[in-house]
Amino acid sequence: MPTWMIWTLGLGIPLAAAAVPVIIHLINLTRYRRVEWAAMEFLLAAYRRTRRRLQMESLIMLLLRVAAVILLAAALFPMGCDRIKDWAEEGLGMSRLSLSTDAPLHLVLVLDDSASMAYAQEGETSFERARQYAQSLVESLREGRDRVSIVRASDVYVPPRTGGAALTDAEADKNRQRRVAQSASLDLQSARELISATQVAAVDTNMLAALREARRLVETTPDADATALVVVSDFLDAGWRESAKDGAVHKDFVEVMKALNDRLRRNGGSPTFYDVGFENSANVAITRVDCSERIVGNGMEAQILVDVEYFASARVTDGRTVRLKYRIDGGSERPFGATVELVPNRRQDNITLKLAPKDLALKPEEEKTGASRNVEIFTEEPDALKADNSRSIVIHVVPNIPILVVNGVPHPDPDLDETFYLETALGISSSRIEEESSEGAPTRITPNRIVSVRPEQLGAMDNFLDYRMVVLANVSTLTEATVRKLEEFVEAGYGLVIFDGDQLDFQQYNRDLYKGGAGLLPVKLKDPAGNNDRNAEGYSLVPQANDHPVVRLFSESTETLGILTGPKVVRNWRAVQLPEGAEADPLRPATTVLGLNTPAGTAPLMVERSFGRGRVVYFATTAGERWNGFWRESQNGLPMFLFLEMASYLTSSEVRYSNLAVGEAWRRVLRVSDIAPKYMMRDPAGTQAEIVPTAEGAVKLIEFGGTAQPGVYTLTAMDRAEGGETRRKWQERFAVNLNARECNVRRLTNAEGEDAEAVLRDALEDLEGLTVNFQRAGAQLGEGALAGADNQGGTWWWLAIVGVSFLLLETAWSAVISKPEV
Amino acid sequence: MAESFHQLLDPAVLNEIRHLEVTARNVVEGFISGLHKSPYKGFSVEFAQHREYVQGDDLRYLDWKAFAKSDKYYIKEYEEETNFRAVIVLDTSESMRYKSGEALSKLEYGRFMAASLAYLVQKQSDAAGMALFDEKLYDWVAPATSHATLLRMLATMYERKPEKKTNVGEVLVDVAQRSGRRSLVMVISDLFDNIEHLRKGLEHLAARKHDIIVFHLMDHQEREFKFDRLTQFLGMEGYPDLLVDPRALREAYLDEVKNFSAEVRRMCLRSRADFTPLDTNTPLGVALQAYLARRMGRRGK
Repeated sequence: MPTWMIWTLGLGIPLAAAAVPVIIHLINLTRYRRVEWAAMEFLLAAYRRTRRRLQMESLIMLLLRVAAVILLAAALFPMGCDRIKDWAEEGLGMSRLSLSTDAPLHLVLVLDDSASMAYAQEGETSFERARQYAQSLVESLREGRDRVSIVRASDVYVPPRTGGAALTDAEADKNRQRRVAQSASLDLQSARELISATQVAAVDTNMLAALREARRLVETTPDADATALVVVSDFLDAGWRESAKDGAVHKDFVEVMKALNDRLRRNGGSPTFYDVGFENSANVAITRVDCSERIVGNGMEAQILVDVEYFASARVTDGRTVRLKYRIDGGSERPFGATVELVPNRRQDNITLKLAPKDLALKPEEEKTGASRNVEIFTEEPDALKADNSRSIVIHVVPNIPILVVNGVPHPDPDLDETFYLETALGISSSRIEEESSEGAPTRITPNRIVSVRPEQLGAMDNFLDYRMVVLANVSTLTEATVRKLEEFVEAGYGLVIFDGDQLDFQQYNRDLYKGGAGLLPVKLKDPAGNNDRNAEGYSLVPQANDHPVVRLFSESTETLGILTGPKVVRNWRAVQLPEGAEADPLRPATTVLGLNTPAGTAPLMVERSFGRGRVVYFATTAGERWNGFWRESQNGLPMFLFLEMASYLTSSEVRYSNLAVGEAWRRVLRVSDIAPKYMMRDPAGTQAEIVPTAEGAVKLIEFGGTAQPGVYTLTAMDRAEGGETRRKWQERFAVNLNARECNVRRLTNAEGEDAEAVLRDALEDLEGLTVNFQRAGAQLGEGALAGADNQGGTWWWLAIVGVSFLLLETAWSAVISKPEV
Repeated sequence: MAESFHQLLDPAVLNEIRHLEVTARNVVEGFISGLHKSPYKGFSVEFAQHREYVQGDDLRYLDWKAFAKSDKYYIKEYEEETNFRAVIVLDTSESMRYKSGEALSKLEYGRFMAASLAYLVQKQSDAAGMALFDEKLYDWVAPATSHATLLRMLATMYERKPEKKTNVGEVLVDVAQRSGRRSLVMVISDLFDNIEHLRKGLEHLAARKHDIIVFHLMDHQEREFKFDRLTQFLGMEGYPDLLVDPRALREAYLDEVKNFSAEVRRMCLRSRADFTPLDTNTPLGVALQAYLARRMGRRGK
């Protein structure tokens, strides 16, 4: 229907109808009779006495007639009423809601406060737009009648539970409460204050979870009340793509929208999506900062690898350049690398920053405890989204990493000794290796410090918590107490490596370490399957888990992969059975990292399985030369690389928590020497709070879940000094960074390049009766947004009935006042 | 006055007068024939003598004071009034022209009433006179017993056109002065005048020992105010016009009328005047009956 016709029918008819009573009234005024009247003095006196009342009555009558006719016309031409309301709102500044139904309204506001909402253009951020709009919505509600719920669309990090157990109801409810900022409250002032106080969270959008909460809130609304759902977001690809038609959560999205729509339709409403994003958005982001070493030994050099990406909307085609800088521990800024040339929506990988040993070297007072260094990488010029213009990484610098090697078969002959070569490889750093360098100074390449013991010495050790990794090499049996201490050690987050061998009592291992799938041993052991003859043919290794850190080292090229798969050096191995049936645990699966390429097929050679917070790696062959020729026959350094990488992987459990995403919980196991009377945590804003350690069994640890801001957090263990004062015992830092997903400011579009509105319509096209109200920043609140009952046919009929009642009342009143008294 | 008499020669005027006279005679004779004869005797006001009571005498005329002194029954006898004077004061202002529907106008009704009263008075061989007024007293017919006087009164009433304001208070003062001897003054008017003026006039008459009867004559519509649609009321006697829905004003208007009548009634009581409200729908006989009943009741006191 053309606009002029909508206006003519929609607005013209109700207005013309409203004029009818006025016209009738005016015509009536011209139709009267004339009478000569003698008793005029009495008539004038009566008129003077009643003039005001008569005028009021006449006015009320006229208004009643006009109101009745307008209501009647409105019932027949509702679109005209919408026009009138729009006109009243825009032209007269009247509140939209003040014109709507008297039914209480429950406004459920889903407010996207994810990190991307900090994107700024023309001096205004998306979130400021959202906040302004949200305030205007709340302003339009009526105090004491309408209610507001506010749901934050930023993701809430839920800390994993030990063993992967499901959240309890109480925990789930607590998490929900963190997402729902205000629940169906009549306190509009509180809502206004809450919106004003809300800041952009440095986390991802989780719109599906937010909509689920909105659904829960909407469904709590009494049937008689109107409900409105308004989703305010920047509609970026990163936050909404998964909800699109081909997205991973599309089905769930449609389901929750269907439920919402069903409830909203009862009042004639439909969900409203309000887009506060900017067109032509572009953003340079540092999306990854990594270190070549998980833990850096004092005197080692390290390489920092940086990824920079230029996210841009489709219309942005020009590239740009950026200069990167870094600073260590808040020191002076230093540039590195060349100017980076950026192309829209392309990533520049592995921009390398080499840190010399002196950059990270421990200070004298740190030489015993080690230290954590914060390396901050940032762009020279900030851009529209400042939060991702810098990124930090915390590197642990340690004097050494203690590794306990239990030699099951000590022997003076290195070829016959079980751990000679292994200890040499792992402890290669202990004897500094001269390396060609411009300065000519020796450079340390591993931080490991090897402590070798015999099996019988294990009983004398209280625990293994002073080590970061324990290696059992061809150890025949283990006492029950040793097994218990090993379990405690691994559960705390450390690594255990078990090498097989001819001395190993596999039945005792199966009983005490495998424990039917519940113990430390990742697999159930069987008899050896190869040939123990030193002249027998060997078999090569086959990677089974390409994304495993140990394998990844060799996966860079065919050449490097050949180092792993080339040598045919494993002659003998033990047949094993991976956990199956009741022994299998889906939450801690046994992963075959390396296999052995045998004529009978691939046999598991290196299997990994988690235990508590730590990991256990089982090798189906020996650490020494008894069952294989790793050390002497493979000429390419395979065992050294393999075992060093394995050690780096297993000893870096603490490092896993050194670089977190916003919201992730930080944790640290406290060794005996780490225990202190007091622990203080300082966040990036400088706020300090005391942290109380917790305990899991015999293991004490510190957990901290308040990583809401990106930046570097510092935990300081305080010791008592003389005189009752405290002093720093040790300190550890960890970095929290923005999730790179939120850096992607590309707008949500479909394959045809149409905008978010089209994507949403496509996604929800199968929903019967759903009207997608999509509006962009700057637009007035449109039809069906807060109207709730505005478009409700039933309400208009109700109004029509009221109108007719007015007419009847007016008629009756007229009859009463005109009835002559006898 | 001579000119007025000359007009009486006009057959149309004569016919009209005749009509008035005939109507008045019919009204009075019809009225009288329905009454006991004693009202005849009782119409005089001058005491004559006592005589002993005989059976059949009207007990209303028994002299109870004489009975108390002598223990005998005496009847008070009155001389027939031969010099009784009655002056009929008729309002002929513009407001008396009003009539509603097919009813007589107030002036027409007043003329019939005045003629009837005059005829009734002369029928008893008393002298009847007339005063016509609007803003002032302009026609004065001195009381006389002759038929010619009656005809003159009728002609005077006929020729007067109602077009000026009412000033009844001043006129009553004038009537009091002109009447000279004690008279019965019968005022026929809608009394649409300043109430203070009316009060002064009545007090003046009462001070001169005149007996007063006030016939407050209004149209039936003026008393009931039963209009049913938007009406423009055109003011008479210089009042402004008013366009109004009469249904909404009725209650207040009736209050005003009621208050005015009550005030006039109070003034009449203070001046020992009889107050008789009439409307133009009331039969003339009923009006006369109401008058005579009041008159006789007054004499009996």
